[in-house]
Amino acid sequence: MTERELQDADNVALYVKPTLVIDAQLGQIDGSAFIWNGRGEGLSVNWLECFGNLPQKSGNWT
Amino acid sequence: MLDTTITDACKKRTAISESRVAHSRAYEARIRTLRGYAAEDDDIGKVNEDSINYFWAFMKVTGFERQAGLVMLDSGDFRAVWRENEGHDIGLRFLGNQQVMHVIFKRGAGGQLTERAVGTDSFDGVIKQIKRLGLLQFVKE
Repeated sequence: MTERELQDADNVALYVKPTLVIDAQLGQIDGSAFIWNGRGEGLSVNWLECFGNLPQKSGNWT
Repeated sequence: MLDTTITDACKKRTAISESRVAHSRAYEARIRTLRGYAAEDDDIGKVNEDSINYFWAFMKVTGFERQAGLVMLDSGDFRAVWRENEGHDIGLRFLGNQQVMHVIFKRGAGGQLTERAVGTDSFDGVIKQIKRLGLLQFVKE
């Protein structure tokens, strides 16, 4: 895969499992979600711009 | 006058008691939910029952009035978190061997970090740390 530079304005998303969500309404998650568990090569994240256009509004995707 | 004072004290005590019962029910529900998630998550090892028991014992001993958020780590340990936006932050991981791993951030009025404490200690040790940082009222409210 060709290497592309991640721009400061780009968005990187990390999936946080429900066991580590403190308060979904307040958007509070436990800091341990950002600790690598040793599996794979590091934290698994998604570079949203890599998938093309971002949705204009956030919301539930069905 | 004395009657009024006694009545007020009784009302306050009843309110605290009701609050504790409500929190206990919320914790029970959350633990049930977390157990359900754990059963479906291959990353999570066996649920640490000692951790849950230690959490309950801690809450009984300390009588913290502020309700904590409860999460489960991949190790199966439970972690209680008291947090307010731009404010103090207390995270206690119950290891289940009479030890609590704590991460405590004390913040000033502007949200800046003024002091922190990190380590593993007994019930008493953790409570002393919270007191030392002047955050007992934060979790007692």
